Amino acid sequence: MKKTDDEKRRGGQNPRGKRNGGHAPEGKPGKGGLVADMRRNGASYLLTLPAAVYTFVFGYLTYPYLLIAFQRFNYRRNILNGEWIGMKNFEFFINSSYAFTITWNTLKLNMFFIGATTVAALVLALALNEVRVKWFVKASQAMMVFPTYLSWVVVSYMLYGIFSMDYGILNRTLAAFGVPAVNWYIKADVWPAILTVMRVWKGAGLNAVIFLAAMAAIDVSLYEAAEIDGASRAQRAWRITMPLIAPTVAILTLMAIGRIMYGDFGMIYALIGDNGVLFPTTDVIDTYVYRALRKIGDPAEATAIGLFQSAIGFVLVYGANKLTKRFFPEGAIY
Amino acid sequence: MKRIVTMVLALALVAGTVAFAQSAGTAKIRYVMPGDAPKDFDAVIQAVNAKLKADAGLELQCSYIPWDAWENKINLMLASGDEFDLFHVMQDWIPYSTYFSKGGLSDITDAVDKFGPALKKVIPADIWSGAKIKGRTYVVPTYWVELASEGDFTIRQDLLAANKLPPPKTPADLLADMETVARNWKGSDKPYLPMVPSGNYADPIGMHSSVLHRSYASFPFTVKEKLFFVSQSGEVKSWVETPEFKQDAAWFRKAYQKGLINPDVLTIKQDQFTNAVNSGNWLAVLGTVGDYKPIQKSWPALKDADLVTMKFNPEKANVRPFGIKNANAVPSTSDHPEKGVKFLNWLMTNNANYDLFMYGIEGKDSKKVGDKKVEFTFDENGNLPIYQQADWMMGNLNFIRLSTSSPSATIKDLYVQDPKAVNNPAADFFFDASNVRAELANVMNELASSMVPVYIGVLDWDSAYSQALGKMKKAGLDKVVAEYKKQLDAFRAAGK
Repeated sequence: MKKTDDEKRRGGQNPRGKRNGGHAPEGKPGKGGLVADMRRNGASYLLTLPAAVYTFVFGYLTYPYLLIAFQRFNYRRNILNGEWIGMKNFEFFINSSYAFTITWNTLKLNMFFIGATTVAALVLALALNEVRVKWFVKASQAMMVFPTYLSWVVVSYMLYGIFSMDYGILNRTLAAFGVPAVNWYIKADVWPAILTVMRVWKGAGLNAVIFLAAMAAIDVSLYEAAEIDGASRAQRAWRITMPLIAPTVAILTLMAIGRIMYGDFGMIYALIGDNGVLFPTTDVIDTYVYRALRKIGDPAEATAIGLFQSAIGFVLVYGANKLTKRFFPEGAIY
Repeated sequence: MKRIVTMVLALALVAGTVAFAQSAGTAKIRYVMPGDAPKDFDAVIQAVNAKLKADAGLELQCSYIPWDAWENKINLMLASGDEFDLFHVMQDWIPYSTYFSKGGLSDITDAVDKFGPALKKVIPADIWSGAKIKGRTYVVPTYWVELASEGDFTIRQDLLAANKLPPPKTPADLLADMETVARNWKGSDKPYLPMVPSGNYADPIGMHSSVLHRSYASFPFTVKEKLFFVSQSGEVKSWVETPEFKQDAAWFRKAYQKGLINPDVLTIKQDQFTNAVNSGNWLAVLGTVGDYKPIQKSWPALKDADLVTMKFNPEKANVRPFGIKNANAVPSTSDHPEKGVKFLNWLMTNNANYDLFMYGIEGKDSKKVGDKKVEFTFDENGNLPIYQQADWMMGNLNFIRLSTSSPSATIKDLYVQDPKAVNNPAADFFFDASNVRAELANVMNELASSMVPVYIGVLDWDSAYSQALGKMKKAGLDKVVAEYKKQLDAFRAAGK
């Protein structure tokens, strides 16, 4: 009975039983080049059009404006007749006594976020992949994805409800055990862990759903063969599921690494705000730049920092992709 | 085919000409303001435009930018050449000199002379002087408040009486009274001193801790731009290195240790602060209280007279830290800079124009009460008036009406001119930070991260101050203070 359910479920999601059916791992258009491929798959290319236009307009057409990172900004001048000042706009950041701390915080927090979110999403996806009760899987997926759509501002109030000194759930729970209340909002050391937990809670669900989709595309016959050979559920998950979804995990991770120099401004600013005591462990480049420039409001300096972040991000993603290509070619982006 | 194309082109030409002719008599003014549009905004603007068109041949279009996006979006609009005609400037947030230094403002000297007779009449000359850079006018100052009110605090007289306490005469008295009230407090929410220090870098003017300054022997002085102590004789010092800064910090530390300040004070946001004030769960608020109606929700017996505004050492001079606090500027992207001036002039021409734009349609959005008060119509939740423009944005003391639930104490302090008040020597001075931009950015960051927790009493002075000051010095504090002093001295030497 169990086997029939299993077959039905997997068969329903992947009727052709094609390996890696959803990934098109070839990476190149079919015979006849790009134009011929576009003709053959017009509808698919049409679907990419909004994203392509968006990327072209906001990604490429804005490139010339990077020039203002090297100019003294003036509203009345344009990028062609601006006053060139070399690397001066980078100085306020590079010379900052905080430059190292915030760069390290940005990298450190993002590494925590990427690592913890990926592991948590994988565990969730593997667990749900083994569950046979359909309604439970669906309900779990909905519940897991829900936090993704909550704004960080809402989360900040939830967090305050947990960690506030007087009325926070945590301190009240501690009090029930006779432990004195802790002022969490001045304990800088615990906040990287709190932020990581919140990030996992908010982001792991969506990643888990993506991993589940990748798992659904795995050829059912592989599991059947393994089962006949006496492989346990854990062995099947470890030996079949994990290697086959590894490319998806690698691609998502590489894409996250590409943005590793970008602190999650929406999150950090909403949760930490202007609480200076927590800055030594939580202040990231984006929040620092926001605070530093919100009064001075110089777009040239903001552009300079953005360029710095992009350059480092590019180097990191290029390096990570190179390593991935060498040791695990299926997982490389390009 | 050719004929059809010709016909279409001809029709388009005719339609365009008709449209142009229709709009030719009316100049459109685009006014950009921070915040959100009130509920009855469209109806009021329609009524305003009917009058504005008839009186001055103008049509107003207002664009609101939410508070959290304000600085960035205004910057972007100016940088991208977006055509608009008027925008609001908050001097204590981003002074107009910052926009000016990057070429973001139009010189409106001639426009004010030609099209602003009403503005010149209702805004005093000494207020206009704060709107000038090198003798030219760049903003229309908002004369909505008596800026010498700095140093006031509001106290709940009913709580003093219930606890048999005399009114505080010194900061130590205030602390003792707050402690007594907290000890006898019956409610579940503790009566903390409402504060939101972090967002404004614990600026003594922004968070009104200048209340304490009147009790110091060195008063009068003021703190400019969060970093600079400026005495009445024009002496400039680094604020965080003054004995007065240390005295403030000691007072807050005592309050913090006695549990009179919210232990999570560093993480308090503006809306939490507003809720705390509106809850009425406090003995004192630094600064004034705008409206007692929300407080009555929790304290129904509270009366207007229960809110008393006071200051320490009232015999000492009242000082204006700024010449102007708010203003409206014409951006350099405006095609006709005089349009913005014309609109503001129309607004200040008479009570009828002012009342319509500021308080909405009489009988629907509000009801005039006497000469100086107004009763607003509130939304279904009873939280916000369905229409109101902010007095601080474009109000004028000659026309201003206050809500019937504005405390009388607040009205007396904020909206009555103080003829004896004096300006701080740096009141009309604008610091051009372009020579020390990098240092200033870093100093401000260190101020927020290292010094604010010391100032507000969360961290102990002896263990945290030296390190915090060291970081600020390393970030370039001395250079920034020296630059400020140099510029202020030059400004004073030039007689403005």
